[in-house]
Amino acid sequence: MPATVQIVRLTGAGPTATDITTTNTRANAEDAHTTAGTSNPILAPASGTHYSYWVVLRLNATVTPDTAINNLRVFTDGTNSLGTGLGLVVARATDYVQATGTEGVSGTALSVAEYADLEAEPVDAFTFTVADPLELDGSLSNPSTGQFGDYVVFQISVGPTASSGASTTETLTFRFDET
Amino acid sequence: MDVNWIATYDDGTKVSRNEGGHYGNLDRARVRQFEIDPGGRRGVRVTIIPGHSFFYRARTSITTGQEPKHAYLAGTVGPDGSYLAGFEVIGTKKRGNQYTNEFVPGHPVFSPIKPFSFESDLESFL
Repeated sequence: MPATVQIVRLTGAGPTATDITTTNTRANAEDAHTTAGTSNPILAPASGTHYSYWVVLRLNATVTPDTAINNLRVFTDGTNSLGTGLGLVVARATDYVQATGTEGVSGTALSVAEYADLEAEPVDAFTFTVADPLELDGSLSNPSTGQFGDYVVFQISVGPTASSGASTTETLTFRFDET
Repeated sequence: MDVNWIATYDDGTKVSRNEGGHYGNLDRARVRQFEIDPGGRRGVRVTIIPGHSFFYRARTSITTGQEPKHAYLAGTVGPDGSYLAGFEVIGTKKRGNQYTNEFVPGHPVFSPIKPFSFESDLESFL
């Protein structure tokens, strides 16, 4: 039987893992998963930049592979459709660090200084496409289950030209090989 | 869509996933043919000549909020080059078989693989 693999979002001190494979998750100014929450939006700044709390994603196998999984990749569609004044950065990490910031205003800007387990400073997520994806370390071998591979950390930035309201949805794709 | 694979050894013996075979346990030096059988539809098959190596992958792409996409790939690599065969499955529908003689970065079926520890025979060719 092939593996059953989810994309999970990690939040809280625990952390709590929430399966977002078949749904969406919002990057708000709060450390929580929600599909439509509006209680803690990112406050558009008069100048400078505000941020979402960082969003930590990882793969999770609920059914072990026949033999093993490797060659993990993640990518976007390559086009920033979030809207004017909005950006999205990404970095991979070797461990989980809970997101921080001021709820309803801004998250802490993602950086190696703030998230020590990042493997590099975050870069524009839309540079990673199906043709040139972000390579993740990690693998999973039978009979193991559970979370595996690098953590993938995203953050939305909001500039003063951003419009109010929900942004356009962006999709992310994880890819892996199994035998 | 459940997909079976069948490996044929140099003495004609067959090992298949549906009959309990594990890809990682194959006697790789003796495999002469490797077939991916999607069941009831034409699959793909590669022939491995002595001195060449082979591989198999089920490749899954998960896009948030969408149905997972799968691609199945078998191939041979060796000093005389490569031969890759595979197909995509989106939902329950299988797309046509595809063939190439090299890995193609960004391709849903033929993007490069990474050898597993039990595939050390591949490393000198990739």
